[in-house]
Amino acid sequence: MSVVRFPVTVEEAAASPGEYRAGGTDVMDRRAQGITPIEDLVDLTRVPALRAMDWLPAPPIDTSESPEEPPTEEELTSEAEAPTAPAFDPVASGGFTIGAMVTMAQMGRSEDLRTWYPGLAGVAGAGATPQIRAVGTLAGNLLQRPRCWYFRHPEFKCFKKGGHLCYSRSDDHSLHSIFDLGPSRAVHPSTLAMVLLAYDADVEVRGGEHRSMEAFLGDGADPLRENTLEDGALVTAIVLPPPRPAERWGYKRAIARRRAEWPLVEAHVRLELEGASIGRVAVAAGAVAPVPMRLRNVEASLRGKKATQANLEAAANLAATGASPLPGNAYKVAMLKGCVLEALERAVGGGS
Amino acid sequence: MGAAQEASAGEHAGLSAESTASAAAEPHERVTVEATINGADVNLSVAPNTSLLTVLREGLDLTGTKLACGHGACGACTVQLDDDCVCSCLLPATSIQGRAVTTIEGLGDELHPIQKAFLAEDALQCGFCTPGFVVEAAAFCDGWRAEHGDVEPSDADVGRAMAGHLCRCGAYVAIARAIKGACAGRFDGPAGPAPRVDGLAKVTGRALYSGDMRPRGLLYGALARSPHPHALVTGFDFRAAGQIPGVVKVVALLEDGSRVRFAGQEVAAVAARDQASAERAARAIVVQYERLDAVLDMDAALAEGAPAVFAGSKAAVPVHKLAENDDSPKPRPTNAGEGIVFPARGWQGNARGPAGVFSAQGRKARKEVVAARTDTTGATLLEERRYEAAVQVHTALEPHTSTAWWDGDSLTVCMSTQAVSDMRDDLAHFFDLKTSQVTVKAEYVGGGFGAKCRLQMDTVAAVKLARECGKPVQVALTRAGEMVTGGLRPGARIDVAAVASSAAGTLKAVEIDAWNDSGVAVGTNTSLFWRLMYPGAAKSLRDFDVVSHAPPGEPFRGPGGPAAFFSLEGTVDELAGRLGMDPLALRRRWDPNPIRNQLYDRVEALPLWRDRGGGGGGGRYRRGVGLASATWFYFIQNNMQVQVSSSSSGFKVSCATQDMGNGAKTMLAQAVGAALGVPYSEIQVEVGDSNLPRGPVSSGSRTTASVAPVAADAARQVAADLCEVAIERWELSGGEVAPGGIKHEGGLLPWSEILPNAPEQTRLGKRGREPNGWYFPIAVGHILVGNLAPASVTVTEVEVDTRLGRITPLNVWAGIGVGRIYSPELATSQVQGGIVQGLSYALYEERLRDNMFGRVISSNLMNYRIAGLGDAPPIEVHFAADPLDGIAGGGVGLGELCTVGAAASIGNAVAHATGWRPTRIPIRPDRVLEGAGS
Ligand SMILES: Cc1cc2nc3c(=O)[nH]c(=O)nc-3n(C[C@H](O)[C@H](O)[C@H](O)COP(=O)(O)OP(=O)(O)OC[C@H]3O[C@@H](n4cnc5c(N)ncnc54)[C@H](O)[C@@H]3O)c2cc1C
Ligand code: SF4
Ligand code: FES
Ligand code: FES
Repeated sequence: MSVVRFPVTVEEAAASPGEYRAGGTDVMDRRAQGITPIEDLVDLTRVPALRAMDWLPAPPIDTSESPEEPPTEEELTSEAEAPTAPAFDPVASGGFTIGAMVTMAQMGRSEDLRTWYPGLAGVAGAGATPQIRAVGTLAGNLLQRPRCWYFRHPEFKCFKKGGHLCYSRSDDHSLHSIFDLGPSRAVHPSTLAMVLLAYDADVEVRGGEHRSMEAFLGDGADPLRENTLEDGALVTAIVLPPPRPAERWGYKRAIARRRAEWPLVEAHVRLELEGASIGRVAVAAGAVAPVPMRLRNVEASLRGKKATQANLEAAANLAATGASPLPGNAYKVAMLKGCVLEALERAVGGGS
Repeated sequence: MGAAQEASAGEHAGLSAESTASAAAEPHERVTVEATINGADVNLSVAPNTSLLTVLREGLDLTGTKLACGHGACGACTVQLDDDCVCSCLLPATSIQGRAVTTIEGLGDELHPIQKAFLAEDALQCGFCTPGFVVEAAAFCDGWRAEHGDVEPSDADVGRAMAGHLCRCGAYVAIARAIKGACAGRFDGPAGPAPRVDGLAKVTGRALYSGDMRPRGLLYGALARSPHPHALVTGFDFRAAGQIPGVVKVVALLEDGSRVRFAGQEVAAVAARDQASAERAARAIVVQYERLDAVLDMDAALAEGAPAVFAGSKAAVPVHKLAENDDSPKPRPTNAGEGIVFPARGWQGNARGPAGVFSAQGRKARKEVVAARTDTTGATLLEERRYEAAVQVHTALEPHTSTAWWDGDSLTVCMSTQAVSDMRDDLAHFFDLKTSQVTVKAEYVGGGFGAKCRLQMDTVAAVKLARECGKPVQVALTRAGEMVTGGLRPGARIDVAAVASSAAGTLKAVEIDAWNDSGVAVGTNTSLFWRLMYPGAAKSLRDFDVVSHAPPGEPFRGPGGPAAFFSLEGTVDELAGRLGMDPLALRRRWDPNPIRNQLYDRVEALPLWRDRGGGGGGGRYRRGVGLASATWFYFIQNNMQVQVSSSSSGFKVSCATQDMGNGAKTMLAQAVGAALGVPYSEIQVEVGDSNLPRGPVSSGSRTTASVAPVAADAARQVAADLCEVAIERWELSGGEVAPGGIKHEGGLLPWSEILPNAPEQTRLGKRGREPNGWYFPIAVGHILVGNLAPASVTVTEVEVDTRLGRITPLNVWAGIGVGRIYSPELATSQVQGGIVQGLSYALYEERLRDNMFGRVISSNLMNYRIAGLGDAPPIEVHFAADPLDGIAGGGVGLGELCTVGAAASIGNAVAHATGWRPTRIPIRPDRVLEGAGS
């Protein structure tokens, strides 16, 4: 019989032993299926401090002039749109913090996020399904366990469950990683982790310690975990760097159906144009590796270049550098290039 | 709602009346939750892992909210939580603390405009997904109107809002129409007439499915399944399972020494006071096995020296006898077909076949193919290709569910079945009872599609546990269980060789070898459809059932059809291309069927077809339009009756058939109403009870043709009786039955005056002789195959994304010729649903198993993908005008006909768009990239 605790402060939450439960959309499913051991629960729904969303360190930005809605296009795609933002001095901003328990729906609705971090709000407000977004939280999304079908089947004990083999390698791995980063080829399930990686966000752990997204996610080598968070450690918030008012963004997910499907491959792009040339650019990809990947070589190839279709294509073609697909998922190589290209096109504004 | 009372009602559903003081961060084994549910304050005590859905259904008897997947993919469990819609199956019950929950039961006493819209637009079939859709759509509609006023939302708006819902019946076209109409304020007035007689019960959540039956003392069951594909059971150990709190009883479903023949075969079962404990206990059941060599797939089964799954057996056994029949000298596979297992030559290893009774000049056909292979003159065109189709699972939204209880020696089972009468017989036989001791009920069935025609082990388990426990027991398959023993369409591999003459453009010969991947079953026939189309050519048609250690195939809406027409119509299009002919012109040349030729005329004039152009183009997105012709049988069950009775409260029609969303109830009411001249909404309908006069199984598209004329016959008999009574009583002269009552010299005496003053009349209708005779002259298992060919033509437009591999269906036109249409609204719904199911199979569905143990890994509705609302294109349905003269009643069923051509038309549309011929179903993105990627 497992017990549940309901801490009300961050300190209590951090000190309580057991598995954290936020929205429960992953925890409840794994428990019902008998996939992970039933431990005690620490339910985070009654910790108000984890629901905060605010500017750092202090001065809230004037958003009285309500901007256009960022488009939330079908199947989670979005067109580029430079925010028609009020005057803003990025230097004065210490960034933005989002509490661990903020739901995806709340992120999608937040005026602050929609104005200043449209690439995050747009994706968070359109992911999964409306019912899941209403309860699924930011930290829960980052820390949900993978969807590999052997992992999710109670009768397979693979590396990820402390076993000694990876079934996917010699069997059906059509939905698995094409970057071989460790024993497990399960892809990281979190779309928001990919987006936040492109945002150079930090993860706040135990109410104080900051870890860069990259450090938080780690190298994907340990099959037992999808991040570097210590057992029992509490994620309290995500901290976004100061917004970039000139930022454009694009997101693309390849799926078979039109909506509500786990990505075969997904990609996220943030970039700024300096005249006709590309300035700052961040490109991340998901569903291709045990952790979301920053595609630095794609970024490097774009920086300073004109935003022509040819340049975007040349850069996108570098997306799968270093990939070692398995026979059954080689298609993801082309799909990764295709998703990166489309995200770039959307960010630039329909391609040039 | 009395809170204390409710809480104790749910004692074992993770609810109890005791409450625990709540100090921060103290550990709780139970948690007190105060919330509002449907406007009433409740005070609950719940266990930490209990979901809100469990509390609603098991604790509070609010059964309108459904459990269909349990993992957030289908939305059947959707409720409103304050202003949000959430999946109650994943929501911790503790999370409703201080919040307001609204379920379908709490939407209000007045119908919400959304409910009226769903009713009027017939936005439902089986109704199992309906409460979830309605709850979400009501919230969306209210929010939309508050924000935008009474304007119609776009398809994309509706698609986004409903992205978390699935409807396996495929009622999406009508659902979207209903939601748009309600948002635009078109359903604010009083509820209009509803085309479906049981629609109201479905949109209000009041329809009770077998899992909603809650007899006193109900226990919940769960199944333990074999992890091995082939093994002997050598022992059971129930101690650990028995110690789990709440567990009442554990039983074996197989004898010691039995053989299991597929991973996931049911071996034992447990009953407990709540579902979660039962499932935990089922996982704790220990079974010892002696593992044996297994053949996991078709290739392994056909390999030289492969162990035999069944050695040389002839006939097939029912599914529930699969294990038992090992004691017999020749263990037998089960039957994957809709009744008849066609004779076959015999067994070669694990392949049963060839079954070739449908060949015509087979030897000649094979010779022509051989000659064409070496023909260098160019006189013949040879089109050779292998087509493949994945295993598809039925995955009706309502899982197989049985609620069983014993009353002394009599047994009642509320069961989600397509065959109440057969189930009564099978249960009586299995448990050694007289049929009079068994009652099977299925008032509402949440979809079946062929998978609910058989007695399966989950029902056996419920009955056994109920007997052992002396209490009612409910066993429902989990979604993962559905994916294993919930029924499947065998996969197919079809080798096609077709020869046409270059000069005359005629079809000379076809040679088809079809290999059906049926698991432990036999009886699929795929090649026979080549016989029913394009006559004149020599045809060698051979079918092989390949058995392996895999779950059994079962009949699935149009067994064999989708793959057969995918290969057949693909071949015709390829030949048209090589002959330089228009695909429609070639079909006109080869196809003498008069109904289809009428449909071809229509297609010719369709802008969708006329303006299709050359297809393709060089860009990333390519559009194409494809056409597929198809046909189907209709079956008639001859051992059935329908009863019509009259009383002071009106006319009633009764029949032991069932309505699984196909509209059987409505069809009965319409047949009787039409015979009496009474609006069908005034006819009472009673089905889904095996104690009623024996009705047909709902499969093989037999309901319409079997039942409607019989119901009309019974109604006419009752009318005649009433006429006699009336003539005598009211001393009428010249009295005769007329629409609405008795016509006599003084005018019309309406039924409403006769019925209160006449004695009750009851009559049984029977089936007369068939005007047109039968395709097979004899009835096999009381099933006759009709001698007319219903006909269809499907035209589909798709867009292919050559960069990322997605195929988007844009438009469908479905032409259907089945004669008389009893209810155009319901028939249209059924056709649209059939098209959606067909395109879902064509593009997404694929049951997958691992290659070490043969366990199903596509075990949920996230990785077994079925079409969602956004995937359903506009679907225009056209019914050919002519009635089928040769059939009593003038019309036959269309449930299967409408679905079998969908995949074929998509295949042809993709080929038209890209120049690449897809040969494998599903046409997945990776296959598109491989074949037509840019
Ligand atoms: C149909 C469907 C489609 C989906 N599609 C997508 C998709 O495309 N992309 C995507 O990213 N997700 C998708 N999801 C997953 C969904 O987004 C996650 O289930 C959800 O975000 C998890 O949030 P939660 O709050 O419910 O997490 P929970 O289930 O409560 O927790 C998940 C994990 O996080 C841990 N955890 C939670 N909070 C903390 C914390 N503060 N500190 C430390 N550990 C913590 C828990 O212990 C648990 O291990 C989909 C889900 C469904 C059902
Ligand atoms: S990919 Fe990872 S989770 Fe999946 S079977 Fe291999 S080790 Fe297990
Ligand atoms: S039952 Fe909850 S989403 Fe399917
Ligand atoms: S009506 Fe939607 S599942 Fe049957």
